[in-house]
This record gives sequence, C-alpha cells and structure tokens, in this order.
Amino acid sequence: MGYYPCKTSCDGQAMKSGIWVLSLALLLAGCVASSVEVLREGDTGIGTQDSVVVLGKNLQTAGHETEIGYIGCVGSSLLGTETPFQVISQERFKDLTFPWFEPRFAPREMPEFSAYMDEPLLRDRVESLGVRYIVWIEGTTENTGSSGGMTCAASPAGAGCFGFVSWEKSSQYEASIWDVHNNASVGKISSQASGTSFMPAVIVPVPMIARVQANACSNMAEQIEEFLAG
Amino acid sequence: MRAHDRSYLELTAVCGLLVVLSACSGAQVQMNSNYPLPLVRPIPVQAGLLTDETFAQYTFEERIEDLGDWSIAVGQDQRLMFEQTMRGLFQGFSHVEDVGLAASGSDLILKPRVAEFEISIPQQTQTDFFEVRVVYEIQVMDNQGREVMVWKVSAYGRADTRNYRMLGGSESGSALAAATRTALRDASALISRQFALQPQLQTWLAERRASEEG
Repeated sequence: MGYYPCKTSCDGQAMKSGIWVLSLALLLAGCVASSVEVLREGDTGIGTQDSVVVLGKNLQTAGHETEIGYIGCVGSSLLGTETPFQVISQERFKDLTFPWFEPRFAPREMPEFSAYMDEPLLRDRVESLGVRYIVWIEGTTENTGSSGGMTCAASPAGAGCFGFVSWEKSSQYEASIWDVHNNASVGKISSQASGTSFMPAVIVPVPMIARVQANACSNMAEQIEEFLAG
Repeated sequence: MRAHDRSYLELTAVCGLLVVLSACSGAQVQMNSNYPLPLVRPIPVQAGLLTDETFAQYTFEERIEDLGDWSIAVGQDQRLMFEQTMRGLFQGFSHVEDVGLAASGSDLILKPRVAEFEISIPQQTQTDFFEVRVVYEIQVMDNQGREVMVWKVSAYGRADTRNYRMLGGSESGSALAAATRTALRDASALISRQFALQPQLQTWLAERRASEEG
C-alpha cells in the first residue's frame, strides 16, 4: 500500500520564469513518499480492557537505535485511534517489569519471552497490566543525501543569506507483534517513507521540511490499529 | 580599517570562538534519576547497605585532550540505585553504619565501591553514542564482618545523541546523563538477576539454613 500525501498540493501550479528555483521548491516541499507492508502470521483481536505496549528493540548492539521520539509517537498515535484499547508507555512498562526488559535481558524472540512468562512474578505483573500485545519496533530515520549551498553574512548594516540547499531523509521501521495471551508472534508491519526538504534563501532562509519520520509514524500506528482489530 | 570592517572582524572572531568553545567545552552532569524496584523473588534474609562518603559523593572526572572537561556527579544516584535494588532483592533492607553490628538486624551486609568508571564520547568513537562503563566491586559480609564474597559487576550503558537534539540545554550533557542512567540500570538488573546465583552466596545461604534447622 503506498500513497503520496502531498499529491494535491504538488499538482497544477504554474511555474514563473525568473523565480523557477523558488517555485520548484514550493512545488516539491514537504512531499513524502511512503509505503506499508503487512505480514500476518496469526489471528488478532483486541478489547477495551486490553493493553498494548510499544517497545524499541534497542539492545545496545551495533548500529543506530530506534529513536525514542518515534516509539513515543507510535504509542501516542495509537492512543488517539478509534479503537478503544489501552496503551502503556515504554518507560512505565520497563519500570514495572524491571529488570526483564532491560537491554541485557530483554527477550529477543518469542520462545525466550514464553520462558519468561514461566516466572510467576513477571507473569502476574504483565497480567495485572492487562497486556495483550507487545509491539517491538526497530529501524531509524537517516539522512540519505544533501546538495546545494548557502552563504550567510552579517555586517553592521544587516545580515542575510543567499543560496539553496536540499536534503533527503529516509525512514525504515519494522514492528513485530507478539500476542501475550497466546504466546505467539502474530505478524510484522514495515513502514517506509522518504522525502526531500528544501531551504531556499534570498536574505531570509525559508525551510520547507518533509515530515518523513512523522509520516512513517502515523502510517505505522494506523496499520497497527487495523492489524490488532483483526 | 573602516569601522564596519572592524565590527565585522570582531563579530567573526566572536562567532569563531563560540564554535570552538561549543566543540571543546565537555559537559558537567549532575545525576538525579529514579530507579525501579526489581521484580524478582526476594532472598529470605535481612540485608544492610553500607556506603562510605567516597561512594555517596562519587564524581567521575576526565579531561579529554582537545575535547574538554567531562564530569558526572553520580554518587547520590548510585547509592539510590543500590538501595532500590536491595529493597527488591532481599526480604528486608536497611542502611547500616558499620560492619559487625549484629544488633542492626542485618544478616548480610553489602558494601559497594566503584572499581572502574569509563566514558567514551562520539568524537572518540566516530559514532553517535555516548557510552559509560562502570565496574562495581561489592564486598558481601555477614553480620560479624566475615567476608562471604567479593563480587565484581560490570555494567554498560549508552545513549544515542540523536535522541537528545533540540531538547534545549546541553545535548552532550543530556546524552551522557542518559548513558550513565542506563549503565546504572544495567548494574541493578545484573545484581537483581545474578546475585542469588553466586556460588559463595548459595553456600552461605545453605549453611545458614542448616544452622537454623539444626
């Protein structure tokens, strides 16, 4: 499934000669291309008393960590969806189940989690929180390129910048969903997004930011909600 | 030199100095975190935590060549971390002033000290991470002051600087504090899950059980 949220604003604007750089920037600013893929491995369903935990799969291994902001964004977006289930924040869940989900001890795969659930204290805590699904998220948003240049100068008479810069970002996230009641991995959702931001400057720089990560977040939350609803 | 040329040069010099200072200034971190109670089966003994001033006031300090002065005032946090860990790990917990005080009611006394504390910053490792490694040496004694074991716990924490940009304040300071907090949580997690598995402690517990039964 893919869509281009800026398609309408990107169509049908006439470009004027002489300011073509600025117009091009305006035409393309903020455009984000995104796609979502869903792999279902089991049946799902969720009730109003059920809780979902969204956790970053930050296991302190090599490579970048999933941004704390992205994990929080998916969690808060799920809270705002129409399906009335509970969402427990990563910090609260990790504190209440400490030390079982700390980087050193967090279960990597479903069988390891199932073994953890044999520990009565942890099982009781997870049950008392009403946790039905754990959503593990991994991935990042990276800068994939930039071009252009800008010169700024300041003098007693004033200051200003001139130039044009653009940069590209690409988001790639994957959510693995575990069903706590049935001790089973029920599916994966991946969300990709990419976009180019621009900043033309004629005295004053005007940034036009493509909200790549925000787009990947809202798409991911939407798909998780649909997925959990069954 | 015309007046506005001079002003321009001064402004440029000030800007340059600010850039250099921001790159080299290091960070001074004052820790003030909360630590959770571990969710583990409590060991059936009364435990006491013995800390000295060196431990409770511990501040890590390092001057890194060309990269500034770095310090982390971690004493209060590590004392609190040990307190919380022991509250969850043992059936009973108290602070004790000295070893060998049977009257304090403690069966087992833990006296931690910082054996090693290291940091690495992104400029050194060419990554986005601040990293902290801390080794605690925990002396475990019975209430007569006899040593049960000395256990070394090596903990690690890191924080991605990308999570601390545009939050206001010092990005380096925030990331270094987060890495330290993660290292202290790692130490707490290790102690919570592995303390009871130490052979010397198991022997001590078995002997204690036998003497109580006998």
